[in-house]
Amino acid sequence: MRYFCLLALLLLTACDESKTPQKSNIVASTNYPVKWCIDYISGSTVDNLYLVPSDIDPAFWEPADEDILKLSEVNRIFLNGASNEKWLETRSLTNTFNSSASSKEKYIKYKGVEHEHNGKKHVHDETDFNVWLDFEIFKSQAEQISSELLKIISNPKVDFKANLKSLTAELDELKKEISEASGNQKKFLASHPVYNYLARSHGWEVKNFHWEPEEMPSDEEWAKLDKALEFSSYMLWESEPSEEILAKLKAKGVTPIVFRTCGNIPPSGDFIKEMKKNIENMKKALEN
Amino acid sequence: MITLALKKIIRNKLISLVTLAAIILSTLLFLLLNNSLKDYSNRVTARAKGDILVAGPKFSGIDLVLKALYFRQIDTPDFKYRYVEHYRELATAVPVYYQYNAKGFPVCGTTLDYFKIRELTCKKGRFFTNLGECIIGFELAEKLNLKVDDFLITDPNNFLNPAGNLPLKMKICGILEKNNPQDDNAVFCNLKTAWTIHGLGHTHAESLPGPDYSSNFVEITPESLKDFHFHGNQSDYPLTALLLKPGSPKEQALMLAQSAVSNEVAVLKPQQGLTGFINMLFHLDTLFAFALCLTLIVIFTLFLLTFYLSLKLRMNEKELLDSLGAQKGFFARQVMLEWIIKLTIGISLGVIIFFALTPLINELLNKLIRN
Repeated sequence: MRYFCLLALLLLTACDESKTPQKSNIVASTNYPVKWCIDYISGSTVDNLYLVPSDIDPAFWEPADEDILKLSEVNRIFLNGASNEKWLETRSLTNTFNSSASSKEKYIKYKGVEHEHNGKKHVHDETDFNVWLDFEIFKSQAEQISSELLKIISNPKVDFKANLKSLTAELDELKKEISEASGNQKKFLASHPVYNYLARSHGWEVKNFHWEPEEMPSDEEWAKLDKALEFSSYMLWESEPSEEILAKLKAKGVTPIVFRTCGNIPPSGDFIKEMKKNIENMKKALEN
Repeated sequence: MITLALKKIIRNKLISLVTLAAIILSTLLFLLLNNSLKDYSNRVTARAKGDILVAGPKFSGIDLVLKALYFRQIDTPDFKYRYVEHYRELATAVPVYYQYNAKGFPVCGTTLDYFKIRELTCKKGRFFTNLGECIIGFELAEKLNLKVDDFLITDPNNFLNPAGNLPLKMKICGILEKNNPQDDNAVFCNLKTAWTIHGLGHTHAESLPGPDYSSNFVEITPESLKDFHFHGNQSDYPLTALLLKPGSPKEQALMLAQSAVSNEVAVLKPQQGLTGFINMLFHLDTLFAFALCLTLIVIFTLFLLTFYLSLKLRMNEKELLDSLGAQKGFFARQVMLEWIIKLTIGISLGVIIFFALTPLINELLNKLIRN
């Protein structure tokens, strides 16, 4: 009798499940800051699918067909927003959540390439996607992520709100440390236009270049740098520039500062540890 | 007595055969009327059964159900994409946008969740993942002799806008397993492909001079995909309806309650609406009852008449049996027995023939439903 009851219960459970096509509690994230946020808030108790390969900038990631099928299966895809997920432009996924949507008015825009449409030339505004480097926006993203997670996870295994509070405190501390590390230095050269949010939130000014750490810039670019040296002699880099570039920079009196944006998973540590390294790099560079 | 009755039936071959034929035909008529009409009604409403709800603009009613579930070419007001975000908190919310056809078959813009809630699987190829791709129904593929990697061009005119937009050349990435008449005869593409057919998306790729109007269609290539974009606020983009699969009766009740007080959105239980609509249109309930009663009355009267006439014709036989000293009522029992044998054989054959004809009847019903 006992086994019969158990069997009946199992059958009933199976029938009930087939009637409810609710998606699993798996979520997905499309860049490292968002992934880190979800893991931090949920204490890594939520299955967080991250399909971006470690050697690709998530903003330029193009998911394969099988990635799209996998993403369509998850309960929620947490996006960075601010045009970070350009691939979504041609895909139809309704399970997305833009974590920075509530900070849209704080997005930094820049002019794109001029083109023609219906016989009229015009330029679209492009959006800088590195929103997480403005920690006020990043805190807002974390709050949005926490609320959305609580909507889809009815019985959280950890206290999401307490974790969010801790994350917010850590970001406030980081912001303070970055301000202290930069001290009175308010002007920087940027090897890539990825520090606009960081600069705005700390009251800095940046002059952007489009230089790659492993690719020797052209003479024209070096000439541009010469002109910009009056503005600042500190140049922010996403990663260590090559020996060749480094030597030339030093010869011109430029001090490189490696400040990783953490757009993708860092080789070691996590977002906080990586930011601490950035702070150390800045301190060392500015002390000399 | 049985031997005598059987011998009588075999001896009067012609009369027995005619009687048997009449019984078989009567049985068939009764079964066909009873079964097929009900089956037709069931098939028509089958797609609307289950726990899927349809959300759309207020007051669009049954038109919305017919367009969203049956891909009928009906003019209904557009719904807005923004409602997806609201309803996905309560159910699996699947947007559906149907405005255009390809070679006369409906082109439905939707998401991959459509195939999950409809339990549709891929027979060949894969589901669509990108702009310009489509997956087609099993019967459509057979009728148009299409296979994976072939192309399908949308019709230049849509039924609401005869001037039409420039047709879109779509690549077939998969073919669905045979399932139901509506999905077997439809083309499915991602929602943004459907919006592109509607003229909402475009590219500025430098390598492309724009749509090639000389070829009378637009084709999305890997180059044009790179900077393909949509202008305006996507929340305001058009939908036909949202198919909602609630996770629990509580969520279903909540959505229906919200709809009752909303001035913009109607959430419909398609089965209720559709059954009511069909009954109102065809008075099917009354028709079933009336047809069955009429058939039974006609059959019963005919048999009474035949029985009475056969008794009249066989009065000589009764007199002969009486003169031979047969028991009282022997003749009546023998006639009854003959009829019981004929009825048993006739009804059995009628039922066997009915079941043998069932596949043919089903095919005929499928065609009727599709048209």
